[in-house]
Amino acid sequence: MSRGVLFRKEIREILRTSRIYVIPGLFLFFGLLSPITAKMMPQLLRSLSAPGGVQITLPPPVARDAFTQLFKNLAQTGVIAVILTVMGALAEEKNRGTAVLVVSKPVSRTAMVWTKLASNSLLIIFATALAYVAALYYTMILFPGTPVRESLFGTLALLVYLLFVGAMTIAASAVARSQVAAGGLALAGYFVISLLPIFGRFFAKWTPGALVGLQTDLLTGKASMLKDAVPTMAVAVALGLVLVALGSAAFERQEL
Amino acid sequence: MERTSDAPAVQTRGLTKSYKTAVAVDSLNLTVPAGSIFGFLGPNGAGKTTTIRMLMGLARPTAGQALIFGIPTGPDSAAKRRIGFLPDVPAFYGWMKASEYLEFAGGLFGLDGPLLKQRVGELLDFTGLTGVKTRVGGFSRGMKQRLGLAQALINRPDLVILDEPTSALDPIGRREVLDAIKALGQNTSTTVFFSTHILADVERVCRRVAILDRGHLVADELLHDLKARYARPIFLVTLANGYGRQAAELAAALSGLEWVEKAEAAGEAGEGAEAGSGAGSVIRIVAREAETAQRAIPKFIVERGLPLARFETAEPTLEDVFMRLVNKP
Amino acid sequence: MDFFRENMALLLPIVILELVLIAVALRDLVPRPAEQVTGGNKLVWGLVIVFVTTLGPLAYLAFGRRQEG
Repeated sequence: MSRGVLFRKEIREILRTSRIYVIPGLFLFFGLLSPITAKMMPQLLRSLSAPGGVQITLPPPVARDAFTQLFKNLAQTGVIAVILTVMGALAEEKNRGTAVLVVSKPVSRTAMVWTKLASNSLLIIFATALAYVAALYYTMILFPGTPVRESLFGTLALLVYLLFVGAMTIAASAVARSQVAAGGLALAGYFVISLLPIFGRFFAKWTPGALVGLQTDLLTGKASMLKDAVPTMAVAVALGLVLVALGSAAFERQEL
Repeated sequence: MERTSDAPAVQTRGLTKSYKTAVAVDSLNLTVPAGSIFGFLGPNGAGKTTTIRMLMGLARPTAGQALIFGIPTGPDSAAKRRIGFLPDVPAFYGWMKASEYLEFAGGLFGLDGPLLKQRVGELLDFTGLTGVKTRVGGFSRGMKQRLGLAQALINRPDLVILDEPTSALDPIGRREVLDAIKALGQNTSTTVFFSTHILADVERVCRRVAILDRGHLVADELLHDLKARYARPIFLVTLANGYGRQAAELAAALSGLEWVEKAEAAGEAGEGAEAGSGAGSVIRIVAREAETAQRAIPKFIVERGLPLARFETAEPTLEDVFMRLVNKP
Repeated sequence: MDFFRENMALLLPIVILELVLIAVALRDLVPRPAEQVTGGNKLVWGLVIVFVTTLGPLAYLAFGRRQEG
């Protein structure tokens, strides 16, 4: 009951404070730009290299390159953008004092944390879908033989990766006292999950960082969706939920 | 809402909050009977806000316990359903309008539909925010305070907890908030618990008062009893017109006497205060003991050959009590 | 750059997105009092919004606004 009220407030806040333009706008921009960049790459390099200098010969770009570009952009810039926009979710409510009026009503702090996770996840899903549809459309126009199935699988791996980062940032925001501290904590977490796959086969297969490699492997058909990607994605989702539950427990014990 | 038992609205037992360097609230035993307007008075930093945060489950007690209508407080206490709370500096979502915030607040209590709409309309009227189109982000401090009061009443609470509701307001805003508190108190099923460092607020609306100083409870009783018990006898002496200089000398002389705690020239009488007294110089005398003073003051004045126009007992104010209780070294 | 002339139809959506973001950001910035803008300087943000492609308006919407209320 009160969860529905909280969730509606979050969605209206995203719409009314123009946050709806930030992540979806950035993702849409990458969705449109990535296929064009992939197509233009050889021409760009040719125009940049001086006449008589080193000749760079590249294989002609293919449809797959458009998605490689998209995944690269969103797994780096996209991730940072998610951290920066989600880090304030709870920390700012604590810092500014708006949380006090909410939790002094018959609302559990846990409910507050999970509605923040739900609304921000919805925003990430919307933005990623927007980016994918735009990239798919442009790739179909610019290149022959668009790998629809493979690119969709790759995008799903990307989406789960972004959702994990979002969940981790919500957890950080629940723990931290200020949004800067929350951002720092989430960035530290991001570095850890990026580095973990280096430490052996187990980590390379099962940690959320593995999803980055899986995006391109799914695209090229090197990895199987059911056998390789789904288990790793499931682990990432579970891990994200555990982090939010821990963050929520910490928030529950905090003084406001 | 149902009245479950005869449990007091608020009861604390040995409620203590200590931080690394200081004890903010020390073994507080406080009982607020249901249906009263209860003033929680103390200078800034006495521990009032910390106590209220523990009542609301926003801070955890180091020791002791707080009960609201017999229900233990805490972050997920069932008592929250019956409380309306206004923190000292309420913060809202700047993008909402006042009506939207009230609908949000009511929704969190499970209210919806026409009932919620009607409640919101009533409270906007009550707090004078009807027709305000500005978003909350553009509200003045006073408007935020009024919206804060409105959201605290959205659930028709049995207990309203207000933390320094008047401190940030101008005199008109203060009067409005105090009148609102008084109006709430008319309804015997509503308990109002409000903290303040302003003595006049308490005198204006409270029947019961507790005084907190440096984390300790120094008084907790009916305002009337408190005054009777702690207030020193106060006398006003009026000299005939044109004796202003002598009044100052007299006050100085009285101050040196052993049965006088304090004596001061209080200016010219006439405007406002004592009707029918006419003009004259007034001296305000705080005595240590009533009877001695009643005998000695007229004699003292007559012996000095001064024209005594008027001699009367003054109503002790809470300020006298407060100063005695709080200013102990 | 012949590429741009040849591919106007493809670049147009990007240009539209860009313009929409600039419009949204400026519509937020213009009526906003200077004290509710990060750094307190509206002109600087205006220039960033208009001249820093895409990221300018997004940066403003994400970090340029100090919450009021």
